[in-house]
Amino acid sequence: MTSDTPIIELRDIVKRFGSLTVLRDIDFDIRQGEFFSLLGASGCGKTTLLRILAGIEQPSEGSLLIDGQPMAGVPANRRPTNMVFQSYAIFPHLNVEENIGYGLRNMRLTRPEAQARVAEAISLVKLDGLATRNAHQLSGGQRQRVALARALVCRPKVLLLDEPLSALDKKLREEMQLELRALQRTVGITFVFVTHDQEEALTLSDRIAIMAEGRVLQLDTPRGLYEGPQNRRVAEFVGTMNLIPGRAHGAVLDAGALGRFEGTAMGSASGGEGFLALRPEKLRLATGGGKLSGTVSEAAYLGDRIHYRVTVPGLAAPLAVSVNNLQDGAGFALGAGVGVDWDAGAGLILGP
Amino acid sequence: MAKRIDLLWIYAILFIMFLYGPVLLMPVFALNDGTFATFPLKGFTLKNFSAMAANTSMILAFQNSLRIAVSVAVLSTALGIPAALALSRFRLPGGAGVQSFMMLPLVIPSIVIAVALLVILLKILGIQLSLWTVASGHVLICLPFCMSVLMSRLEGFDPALEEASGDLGCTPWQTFWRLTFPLALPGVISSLLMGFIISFDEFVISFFLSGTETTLPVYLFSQLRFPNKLPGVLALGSLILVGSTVLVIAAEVIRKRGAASSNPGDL
Amino acid sequence: MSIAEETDPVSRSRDTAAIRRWLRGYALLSPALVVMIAMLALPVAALVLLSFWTQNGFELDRTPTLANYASLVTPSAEPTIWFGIPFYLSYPVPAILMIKSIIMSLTATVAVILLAYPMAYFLAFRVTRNKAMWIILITIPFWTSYLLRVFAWKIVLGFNGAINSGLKAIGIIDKPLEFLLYNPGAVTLTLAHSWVAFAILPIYVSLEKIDRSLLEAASDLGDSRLRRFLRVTLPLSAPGTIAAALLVFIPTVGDYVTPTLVGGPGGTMIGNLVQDLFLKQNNAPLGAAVAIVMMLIIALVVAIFLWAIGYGRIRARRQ
Repeated sequence: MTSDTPIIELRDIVKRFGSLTVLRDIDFDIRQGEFFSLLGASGCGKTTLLRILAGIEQPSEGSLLIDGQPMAGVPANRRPTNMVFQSYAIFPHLNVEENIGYGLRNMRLTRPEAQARVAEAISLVKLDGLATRNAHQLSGGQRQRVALARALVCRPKVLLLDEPLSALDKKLREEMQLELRALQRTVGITFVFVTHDQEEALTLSDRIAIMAEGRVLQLDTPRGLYEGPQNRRVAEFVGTMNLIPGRAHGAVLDAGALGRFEGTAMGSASGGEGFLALRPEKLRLATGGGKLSGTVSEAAYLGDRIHYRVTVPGLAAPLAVSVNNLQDGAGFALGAGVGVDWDAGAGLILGP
Repeated sequence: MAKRIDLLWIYAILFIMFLYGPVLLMPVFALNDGTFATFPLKGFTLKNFSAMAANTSMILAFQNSLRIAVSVAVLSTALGIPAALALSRFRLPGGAGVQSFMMLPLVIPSIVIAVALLVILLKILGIQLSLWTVASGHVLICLPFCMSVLMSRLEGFDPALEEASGDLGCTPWQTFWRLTFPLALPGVISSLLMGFIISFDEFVISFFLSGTETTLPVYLFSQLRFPNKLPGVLALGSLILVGSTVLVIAAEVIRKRGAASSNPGDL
Repeated sequence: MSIAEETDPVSRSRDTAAIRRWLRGYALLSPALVVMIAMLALPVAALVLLSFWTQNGFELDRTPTLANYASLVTPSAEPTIWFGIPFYLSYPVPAILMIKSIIMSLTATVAVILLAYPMAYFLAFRVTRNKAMWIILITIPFWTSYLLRVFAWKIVLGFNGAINSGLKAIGIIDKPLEFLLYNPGAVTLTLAHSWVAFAILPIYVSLEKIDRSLLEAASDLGDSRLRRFLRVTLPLSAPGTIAAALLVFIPTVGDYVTPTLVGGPGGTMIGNLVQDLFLKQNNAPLGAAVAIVMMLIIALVVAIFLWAIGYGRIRARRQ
């Protein structure tokens, strides 16, 4: 499975379109066999980065190595990568079989070899029986499978996926997520997956690079990103995070009238503006006591858990609190005065 | 639909009658057994059509027109395909300007094109007028039409298709023949048909640029002055109308059918 | 969001990939471009050059001179009266024909738009089934021989034509009406008929592109059908309608076939003069000057028209 050998090495990549810089300081490795996600809002440069890996776009500066080979000047058709396009780009004049076999025609394969590989790919993506179906007779999910098979049949060293699930409805998307993860384990190929859906990235990936404004904000495992965000933007992007502003002094945040709070110092938060970051599920509510007190302003009953909003005087945004629905009882009513408490180690001190 | 009479429908029917009425008189009088195009009709005859078989100068002009129209259609489509590809695929600096320049023959009165070509051929280059000079003038006026047909076809499909082809190992040349050309084929065929029709029916440029040999419209024009040639003109005109109509319908049907299948099952 | 910033020329010049793409694009474009330059730009340049030369009998005098242009505006004390308007020119024919051609073309263009707009509206909003068939039905006439469509009107309007013989046959008149053919009216009617099919498509496309929810919103906000048409549909279809008007006006000013066949002596236009100077009077340089002046005047009329209706504003609104 995942090893530490890099399959993709990105070194100081910069990409400009005219006077617009869309990627800068891109410098990291993607490891052999891992499921790697590029996560960010639209326009953050993640798709451009993927297209640079595919060879469809050329970086303006910096270098790219795939499997140790420099890729400068190597066009898309000679790279050991294949891509699943966001629109799937199924060739409308060809049927399923011909679409999947499209790339094999460019390799030195005998006809029976090619046919065997197409058949294998068809059953790998569970399209058995649809080989001669025309492109326009396929459903969204089937088109996605054809796109996947068409790329995998070429046995690339890296498979690039550009938001392949975004066009599917929720139920199908969740099903395909599981299948995609299982497929990646079966074929053992490195997947580079672009998405704007943080939940999807957390579910699927071994590691995730969070991108914004053309830069990588943080690169870590899903757990690392959730538990240890290095700055405020990552904290806000992954999951829900309560932020209490103040001045950071090492592992202590001075929030003025609200008090001083201890936490784990992350990144470079010292001596300046900072935040105490608290996940909703790390907070506890009680009828009195606690580090902060406020009133319940919203409550949403979700069955297994209850989400509260607690308005705290002196805090601009109400705190989000997620409570496990363990005890029976009515919980807290709207307008009830509550105390909010947490373990000393649960809070993170973040820079701006 | 409401039961009340829709004024627009009435207008549409009157409009179609106005559009087709005068032209449809031509076959009516061509089949009429009389020397003038007058009412009342005298009776049905095919003699005007059968007389055409013996008219050698007309047949010669027809053959000339056919030869010119076929070469013009092929040439302007062959020039139009790479140009349409360049304008629809590459964001070229100055591309919009080049495109406007290419479309100029659409808005320049054809008499200006005709005399300009006449001047450069005769006065500057000293080239004899022939069917070749006619064909070259026709390429000029067909190119904008062929290009717009081809471009609308090429712009109709997802640019990711060509990227996918490259990603799957095809060189640009292979991508063109395995993907772009098959997808553009309906547009190519309708471009060929349009080039053919425009060239075949063109009169002004042929009139100015033809030498001793003439094309069918120029021949037809020369006959219009003589009242005794009217029945023959009517018969020839009717055949040309029927022929062009069939070709136009073919071109449009192929283009529309192509458009329908190019974006199948859009999500 | 992406970050916009100034790039220094050094790093911009590194975008060789983009330059290579441009070169490939222009390489693909070059055959067509070469043909267009050789067959359009150079001949027009030659035409301009010729207009500065003069014809002396059978000799072409290549000394550059403005004589041809001057002859078009040389004043004369004796006015030539045309429709009550005095022209104080020693060679008034080009000026008169130019004005006449513009008026006839404008009339034909207005007629074309008035005829084509309801038809385009019908296609866009009324036709629900067999739309493709209707569009083909509209397109066919434009693609069939221009010469024959014009000639058809000669059959309809002629002395022994369909209208005269038809009316005579049913006893409404006893001798043919002579005013039908060979006059500016016949030319204008024929021009309008020949070009109306061409004008429908651009108008139709701009009507078809109008988001139907805009119309629903206008009704919801209290517009009657007429007000909705005037306040929403008409402004939004303006670009297509203007394009249609230009596509008809520009080529018809210089038309040659229609005035020759149905115009008679009274219905001649500027195109006839150009043809006459080139092929009959053997004065190609003067013909070239007339053709060039014609193009300049067309361009001027178009520019004035676009300025008058505020085309820049209409275009900006569309984006």
